[in-house]
Amino acid sequence: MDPSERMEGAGIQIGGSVGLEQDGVIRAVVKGDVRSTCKLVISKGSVVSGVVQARDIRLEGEVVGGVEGLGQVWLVAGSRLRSRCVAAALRIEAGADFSGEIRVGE
Amino acid sequence: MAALVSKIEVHCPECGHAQMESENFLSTVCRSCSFYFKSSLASGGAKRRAKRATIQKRELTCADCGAVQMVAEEAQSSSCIECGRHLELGHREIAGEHLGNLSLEGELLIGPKGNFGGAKGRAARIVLQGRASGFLEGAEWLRVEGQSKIRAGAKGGQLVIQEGASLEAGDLLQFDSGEVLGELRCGTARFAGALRVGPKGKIVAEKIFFGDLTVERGGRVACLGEAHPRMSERESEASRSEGETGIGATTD
Repeated sequence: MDPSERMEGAGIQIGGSVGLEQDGVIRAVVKGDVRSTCKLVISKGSVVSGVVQARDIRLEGEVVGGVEGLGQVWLVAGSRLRSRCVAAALRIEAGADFSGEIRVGE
Repeated sequence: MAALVSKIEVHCPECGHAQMESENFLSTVCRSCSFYFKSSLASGGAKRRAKRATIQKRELTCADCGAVQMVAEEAQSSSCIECGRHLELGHREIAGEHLGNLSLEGELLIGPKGNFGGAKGRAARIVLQGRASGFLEGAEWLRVEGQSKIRAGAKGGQLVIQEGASLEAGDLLQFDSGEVLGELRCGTARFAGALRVGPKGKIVAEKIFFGDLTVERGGRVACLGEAHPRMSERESEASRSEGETGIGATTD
């Protein structure tokens, strides 16, 4: 992965929306939306207050505004999502904190 | 379906009257002279004793108290050794309208034109091809094979909706796990464990509770959802550190 596509570091806070055009990993607090045309990982400890849109999304941290994936969305144990989840394929592991609207394959 | 118990002819040691008994009978009363006699006194007893030693047994769990006991493979009914509950062990098929409650330890088949109209129907396994106006409980599983409706809700081990089949439920569905390969339309459904929606599966519901959820590509789901918070923080950490598959894991 290109280092430029890694938004990470202890205590990093981004006050605005983020756009990525390659596979990316978010390891930060983002006070806005995150959009990607590729695979995106929201790593543990990260919080995105807006909406996360990407082709495939793996959620390990927390998203407040909702998750919209064109492909697969994966919520691992320990992740937190309390809003809308849109995907073509979905996996919510036991231990994920999820509550919200599910729209898959529509 | 279970085989019927085979019968043998026995002769009363008192009057010689011949009558038919289960080949595993222990004792009986002569229908001619009312003499009570044990199987060992009847003619052919040695043969029966030899047979009895090889009787196949199976494990049975009482639906009421959960006591585990052994019963003969061919037994059609029994009584729980702990609570005394009468256990009907055979299978039943409902081809038309059935009124009245049912409780079986075997399999219940509700055919395409069948309707279970009792308040509650319980069986170890239920194959639903038709309808149920009453509540259904499939202790091991409930499998939907037709265009089916359950008006009063259902519960049990696993709910399976086969490909091409559909289930419309008017009340709460409560199962340990679920596999939706066909279509499910319901109000609220609770799955304590895993819920899997296959590539041709479809769920339209008001709310679904689940332990974990997998919707394969091609499957469709529209509902409110909530995951049970079953896993402790430590378990969750262990699960994650085992290494994940699927879309790009975090690279450090």
